[in-house]
Amino acid sequence: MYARRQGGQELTFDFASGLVDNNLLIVDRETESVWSQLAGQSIGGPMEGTPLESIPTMQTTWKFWRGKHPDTRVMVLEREGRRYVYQDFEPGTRRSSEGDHDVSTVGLGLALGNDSRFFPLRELEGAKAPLSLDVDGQSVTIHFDAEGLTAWATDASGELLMTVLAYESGWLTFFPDSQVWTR
Amino acid sequence: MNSARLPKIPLLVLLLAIVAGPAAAQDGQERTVRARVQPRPGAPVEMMEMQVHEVPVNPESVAAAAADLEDTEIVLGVMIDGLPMAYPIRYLAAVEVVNDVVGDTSLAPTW
Repeated sequence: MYARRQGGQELTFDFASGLVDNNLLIVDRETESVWSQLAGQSIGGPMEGTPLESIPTMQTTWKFWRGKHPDTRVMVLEREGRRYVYQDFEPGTRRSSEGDHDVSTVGLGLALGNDSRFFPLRELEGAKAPLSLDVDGQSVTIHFDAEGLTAWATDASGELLMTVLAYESGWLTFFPDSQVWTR
Repeated sequence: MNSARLPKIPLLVLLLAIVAGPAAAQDGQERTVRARVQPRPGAPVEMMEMQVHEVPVNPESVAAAAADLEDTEIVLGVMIDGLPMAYPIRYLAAVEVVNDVVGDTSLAPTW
C-alpha cells in the first residue's frame, strides 16, 4: 500500500495491462507515469525513478483483523474478483480448492536500509514466535499467527513496520541479496 | 515440425494472462500508455501501447458488523491515525488497485 501524495501532488492510480519483472504495473492519471507495485517506484514516464511512500499493512484473515480491530471499517465494491479463502492453509503444502495457488513459498518480506530479509511462513510456523532480531541496526520483532495465516513485523516501540507477504521468487526478484531465514 | 503441438504453449500463456490479469477491463474508461513492459507473465520486455483501466476513487465502506465476509478470507488491513480499515482481497483482486482516503491520508492499496 502506498501514499498517493507525492511531492505536493495527489496521484490517482489506475491498473495497467502490462508487467515488469512479472509484477503488476499501475499508471497515475495526473502524469501518466508507470509505477511498479512491488518496487514502489516509477519505472517510466515523467516521474521515472521517483519512489512512493509505503504504508505498513497486514495481510491476514478477516476474523483475525476484526478480532484485533472491532471498530474497523471495510471497503465494499460492486465487482468481485476471485475470493482468496485459505480454509485449509498449511505452510509447505499446495492448496487444491478455491483460491488455488501455490502457497508453499509464501513468506514475509522486510527491507530496512540495505538489509532485506525473507521469512518463509513454513519456517515461521515451526519456530518459537515472536522472533527478535537485528535488521540494519534496528531491533525488529517478527510475529506469526497460524490462525490469522499471517506474519508481520514491529519495531522496538511496537509500531508496525512495512512488510509484504509475497512469493519467495517474487521477493528475491526485487531484493536479490535478501537473507532467507530458516529455523 | 509438429504443428499439432506448437500452439499449446502460447495458449497456456494466454490462459495464465487471463487468469492473472485484467479483471478490471470491464470497469470505467480505458486508455493506453506507451511503455517498455512485458505483455504477459514470463514474456520479454517490449515497447508497446499498454492498456490502462480506470479503477474506483473513494470506494464505499461499511462497519465490521455490516461486512459480508467469510472468517477465513484474506484482507489487507491498515491503521491510519487510529482508524482501522480493511480491504478484502476479493475486491482488490477485481481491480488490482483503488484510490482511497483514510483520515487525512490518501492511499492506494494494491494487490
